[in-house]
Amino acid sequence: MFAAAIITGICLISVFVSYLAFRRGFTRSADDYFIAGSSLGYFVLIFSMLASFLSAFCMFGMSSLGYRTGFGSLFVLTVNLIPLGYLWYFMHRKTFILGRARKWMSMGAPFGERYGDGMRVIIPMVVLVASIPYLVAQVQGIGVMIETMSAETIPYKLGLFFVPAFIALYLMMGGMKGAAWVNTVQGIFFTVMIFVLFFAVMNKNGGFGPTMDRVFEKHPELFQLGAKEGKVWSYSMVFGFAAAMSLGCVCFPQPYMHAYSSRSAKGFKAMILAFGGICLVVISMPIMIGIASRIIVPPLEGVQADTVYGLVASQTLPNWLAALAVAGGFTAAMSTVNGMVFGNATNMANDLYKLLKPKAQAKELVAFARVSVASIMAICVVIAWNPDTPVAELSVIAFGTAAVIIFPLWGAYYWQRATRFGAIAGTLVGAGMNLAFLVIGFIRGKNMVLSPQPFLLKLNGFLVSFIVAGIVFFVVSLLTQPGPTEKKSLALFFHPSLDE
Amino acid sequence: MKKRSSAWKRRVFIIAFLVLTFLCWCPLLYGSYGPADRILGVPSWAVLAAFFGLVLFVLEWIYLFVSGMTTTDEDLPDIVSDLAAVDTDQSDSPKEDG
Repeated sequence: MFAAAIITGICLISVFVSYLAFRRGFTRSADDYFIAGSSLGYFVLIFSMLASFLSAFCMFGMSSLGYRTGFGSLFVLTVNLIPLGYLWYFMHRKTFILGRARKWMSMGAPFGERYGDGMRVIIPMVVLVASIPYLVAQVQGIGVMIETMSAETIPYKLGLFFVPAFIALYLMMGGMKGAAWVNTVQGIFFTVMIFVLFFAVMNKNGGFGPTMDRVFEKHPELFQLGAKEGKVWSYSMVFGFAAAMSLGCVCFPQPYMHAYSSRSAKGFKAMILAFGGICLVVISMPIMIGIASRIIVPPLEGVQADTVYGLVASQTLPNWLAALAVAGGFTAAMSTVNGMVFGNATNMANDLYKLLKPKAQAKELVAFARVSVASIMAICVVIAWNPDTPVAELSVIAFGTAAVIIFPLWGAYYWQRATRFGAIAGTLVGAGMNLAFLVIGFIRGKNMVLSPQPFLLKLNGFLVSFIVAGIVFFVVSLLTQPGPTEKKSLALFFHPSLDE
Repeated sequence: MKKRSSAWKRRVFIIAFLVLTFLCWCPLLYGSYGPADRILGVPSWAVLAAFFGLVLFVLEWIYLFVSGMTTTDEDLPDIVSDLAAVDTDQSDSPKEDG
């Protein structure tokens, strides 16, 4: 009952915060609704960006991954994200500046202006396809959490409906400003709860050092690289996970939306720098909570391990505090769904609908985005109906698929010879290969996207798709001639005032 | 002269970023398969990875906020007005109601 009250309370507070944005008139124009009128300060930007990426994956998925595979998980969402400080700057400095000058509001806008309408359509489609597994992972995580928190009083399938309905409501109402405010509140809450649980778990066995000593005695493989005969955390596996997550972060909608929404250059730079540093501290904790749980909770296998966070909370904290700790994961999942769904809905309205109806009024675009929010949520609930893939793996697959967009993005800003044919071919081949590996792996009962494959020179499917996407982009660009759109776009994308 | 020294500084930063990124993405140069030494209960390769991450973070902070090589709020209005004046015939902004 207490757990159900907490969940309902969080949902109601989120709706209220979004309602404040709505009441203050932050959703009247398209500019306000989609990019908060470029008015977000650095504090809201940092926490909104953080919360929109860190999700059920970072708490439930990462504690599960730590529990199952050990310290190698640190290369999935902590230290590997530090390079985003400069990667985001190099890849999105022009997104930030040109976005202000050209009034961009979606991901497809830079690709459309640089490569033409073909890329403007393909980008939102690929990002949506890549986002679905990630969103499903969140919705799935929310369902599992509600079931765990309520001691199965609220079944998984009922939980799937309950929370997404609230999320859709406050996104449709408050737009980007509402989403950013909700994300900030939720981000602060789940960060505090991670710290609380971390210290409780470590205290249970006399502190951090003694806890790790006890885990080491029983499960030394969790402290190794190349455990299980080189299959777990081999160098190629580490590199594959680290690169997929980091490069995927560059290519998802959140950095675009937050770059457009930033009030200042200082805020933009503070946001991209802080992200990796905060992840290093905050996400290391769920991993170590998961590792320490090996000596606290009974053995768990596969998808079951996704419940380790809730189980260890219930064994180390008083009931009310355990419920709040799990609710932290719940808000993390909600905030990521906010960011991803809103980003995709923005793309669909401004790239797809706007292309079909070039004279669409702002009101029409906002209405279409609101319908898109509800539709995407509904699709995710349907797919999450039968949870059978661990949350962490689902999320990495999503990031890996999105990462192939980095080549046309780089070409748009830094390579004058890039052509629309190269951009389209590279994106479709890369995303197509990722999906093919996912489907073939599913049929064969193996995870080909993430696990190194002998027939792929011991690389995983993501890395092979990524490398091939890059080669295709460069080769096709060199074999084809830039068309009128590409030639004309050079005046804007390579304007001397953009040089540093 | 100033531009040339800035180009050199930028190259040094980029090389340092790339080397440290490799170290943050793969423990090939400082971690080996099998049992590892531990520092404060944590495998030594994990401590080293976190250390390299910390060094990269500090370097990024210097590059973004101290080096004077990145876009600032003082530069922004002029750059934006220059770019807004570029004619591409692909105006993207939706018309506001009213």
